[in-house]
Amino acid sequence: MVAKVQGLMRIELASHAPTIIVSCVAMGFAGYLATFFENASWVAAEAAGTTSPSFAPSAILVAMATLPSIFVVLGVYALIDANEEALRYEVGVFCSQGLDGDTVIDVWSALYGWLPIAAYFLGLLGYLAFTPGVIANLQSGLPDIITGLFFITGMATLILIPFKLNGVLKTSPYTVVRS
Amino acid sequence: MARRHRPLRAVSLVFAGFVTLVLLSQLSAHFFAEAIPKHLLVENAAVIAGIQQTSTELAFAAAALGLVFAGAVLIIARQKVAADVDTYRATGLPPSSAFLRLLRSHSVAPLAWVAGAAAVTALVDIDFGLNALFPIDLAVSFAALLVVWLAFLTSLSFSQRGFEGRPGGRAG
Repeated sequence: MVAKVQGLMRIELASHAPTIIVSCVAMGFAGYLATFFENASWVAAEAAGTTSPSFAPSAILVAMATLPSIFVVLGVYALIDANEEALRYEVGVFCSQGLDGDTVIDVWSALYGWLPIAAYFLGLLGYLAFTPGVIANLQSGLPDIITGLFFITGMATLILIPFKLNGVLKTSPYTVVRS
Repeated sequence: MARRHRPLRAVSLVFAGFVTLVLLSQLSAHFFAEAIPKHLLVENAAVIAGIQQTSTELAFAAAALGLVFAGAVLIIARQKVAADVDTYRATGLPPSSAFLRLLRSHSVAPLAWVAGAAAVTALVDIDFGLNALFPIDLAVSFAALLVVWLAFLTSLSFSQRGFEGRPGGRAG
């Protein structure tokens, strides 16, 4: 069974490589953009001496940091939506070879959910690594910022993407016939 | 209940999402400048310029990524639209009529979404004194990409041999 799942992962990774790469690049970019917004907010607050007039625009920047990943997750959802027919066909083929439908969903969730989340994390770290002074600016807030952004993105991705993939599985002719 | 035939719904989402992402990048510089009190603007001029430059670069990157993403979705959705072109060809429609029918059935929703997103974005840009032409240019690029892609699919289908219907047929 483990060998079958590993084989499935390899096949799916190879056959969906362009889509997965585009998703990962977009999520990496969203992570980069989010850290840029966070840094801009903290720099602005520091430059303003954290006085009251600076609070609202700084807070807006923090809120904006969560939005890029939401838009990109919607984009990944759109990619899966466009690929729906092919995925339905694939799930039929895999199920007829003795693989459980939920296993196929788990593999797809890893490719379209966990991999883009990992790319988002790399994007977050990429801005920190390639922009001098950011770590010093954010200092003690850095773990909270990364955790918060990661949590929001992870929730959005791991709710929306498996929801869509389960929809594909339920409407697959193989599943319908079996039920 | 039968599902509605919406092969390019995904494209609409991508178009509108990335136009909004460009707006977010543009707005970041504005809110950054707003966060700094007026009397501190001069001494923080270098920091503001740095943030504005990065914000502009990221807006361009978001636009480029949007075009790549939209291209990917269009390529994936190709088979669904190509089936419609083949049907039009099989009924004997000339290429121009098939293309017009294709535009009418597949481009209205994505173009409406991108036009809506661009209109809202341009209004926000004008309100905050930002460059409204940028998201509009991106929206026009998205529209051009979609129309060129549909024209390409039509010409590709009509350049193939076989499966032709009789001239004067009806479709749609």
